[in-house]
Amino acid sequence: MGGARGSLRARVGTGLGLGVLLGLHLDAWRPAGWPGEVGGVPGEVVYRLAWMGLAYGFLAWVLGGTEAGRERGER
Amino acid sequence: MKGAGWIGLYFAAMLAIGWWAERRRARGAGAVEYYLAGRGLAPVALFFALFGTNCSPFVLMGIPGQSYHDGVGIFGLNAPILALGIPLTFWWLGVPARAMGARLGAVSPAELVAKRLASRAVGWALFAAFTLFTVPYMVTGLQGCGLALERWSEGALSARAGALVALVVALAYTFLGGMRATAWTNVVQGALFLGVVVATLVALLGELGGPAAAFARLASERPELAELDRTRPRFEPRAFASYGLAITLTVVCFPHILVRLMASGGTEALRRSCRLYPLALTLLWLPAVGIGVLGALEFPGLAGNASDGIFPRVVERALGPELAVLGTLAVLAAAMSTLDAQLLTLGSMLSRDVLPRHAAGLGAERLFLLAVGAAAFLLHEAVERWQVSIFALAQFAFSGYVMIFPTLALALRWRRFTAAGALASLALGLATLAAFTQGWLPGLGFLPVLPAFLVALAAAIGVSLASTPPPRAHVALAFEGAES
Repeated sequence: MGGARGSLRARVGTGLGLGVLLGLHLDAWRPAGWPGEVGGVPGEVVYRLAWMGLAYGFLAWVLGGTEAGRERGER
Repeated sequence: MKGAGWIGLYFAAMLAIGWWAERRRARGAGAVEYYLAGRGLAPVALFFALFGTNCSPFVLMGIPGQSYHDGVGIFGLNAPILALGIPLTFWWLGVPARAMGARLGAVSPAELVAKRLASRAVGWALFAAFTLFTVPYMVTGLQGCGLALERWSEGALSARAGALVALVVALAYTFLGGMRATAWTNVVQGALFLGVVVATLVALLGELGGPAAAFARLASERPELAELDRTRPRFEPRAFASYGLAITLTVVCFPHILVRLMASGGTEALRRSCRLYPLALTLLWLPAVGIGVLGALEFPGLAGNASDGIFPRVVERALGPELAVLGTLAVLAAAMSTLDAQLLTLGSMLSRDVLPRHAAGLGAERLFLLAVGAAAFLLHEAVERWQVSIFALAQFAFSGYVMIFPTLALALRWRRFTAAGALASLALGLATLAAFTQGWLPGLGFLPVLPAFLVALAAAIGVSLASTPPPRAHVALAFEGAES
């Protein structure tokens, strides 16, 4: 039961996370001209690097979360 | 020819690793040892095997060339979605691919899906598709090696001779040590091209007075390169979205990538590789785009494909003429780290999926490898003679690989998937792709790959549900214990 609940939570979380990331990737909620340059670095590069930081956190959660789910399933 | 010693040292190091891998090979372990390193690639070797295979001269020459014209938008178009999509697909499909491959005794990607679906027809169809899309890629790599050596030798070595030298060296170490040799040569090659790209950007920024001064000059002289211009065709929202889908799904469908996932030493090795991947991609793509954009300030006026030569020009300017050979070495490393994997994988499919009755022993397996190498060189010659646009072929290959994704993913993840579903998906997906590419169907602003992928996916699911399910015992054998 615990494994099944964990799996459902993981699937919902993965779907939501991917949806938000894709929306941000396609500039769905990005105000025009935002962000401005930071330390001389063009705002476009800053925005993409920030997105990559967010995506990296999501990826770390998926990798860890999948393993945790697998271990719960094995038990 | 400045730096001939470096080039010689590089080739000698690759051959030495091939010889070392041959000495380490477990005797009597057969095809699994030769083609998959005994399914035991350690985290470092696995990571670089994936990274080196994935990164071809396209990143080193094509991306700076595109950024030269289109600016920093090229970074946003490619790097973020790749940094997320590649590790996610590696993890999602790599874990079951390795487990199922071991359970079914499959060595090549086509063999894996054919055994999972108990259908030789699927194996043949996949072999044909993989070959169709991989061979143009191999030719691109050979061209990159030929041009790099021709440029470095100032014409003393023709492009044809350069391509042949690189092919012979790659064949030699792959022939000797199989997967283990290609994985460990990829460690050296990946570190080499990554190091050269990063060092070049750092030196270039230093020459321009630091990052702030360099970007201030960019904003003042070429402001259009410092932003993502949505009016350019490649950045229009629908094209941007479809391109993102294509590059996210295509990499895991490269047979030479999939076979490396099957060779991983286990779940932990794969997990570590997936964690490192986004960092390494960022480290590669930022300089690649930076070199192109800032190179436009230093070398203005390169029209069309001439901008593909911006990387070696910037290396020479930033690192000096004495170290210009590093640019050649980086291109050779990136090309050969992809080429060796392609040779090995097509050789394995030829011996395992097409002519299994003739592949008796390692001697025969190695002969298949030589046959693939010879075929690649002959096609390279033909392409040079016919003046075929390799870029167009490579673009079609990228989209074509995406049509394989539903078959691959559903075979590894869905128990109800059938051979009929796979064959329908491949046939309809490729036919739809051709129809959209030729303009027979309206794309509505999307790239042809997006609607064709949806058709391939729908066909895979629909035909599977309408056809007889595979025997339960066989499915249980394939999936038992697989990650879920």
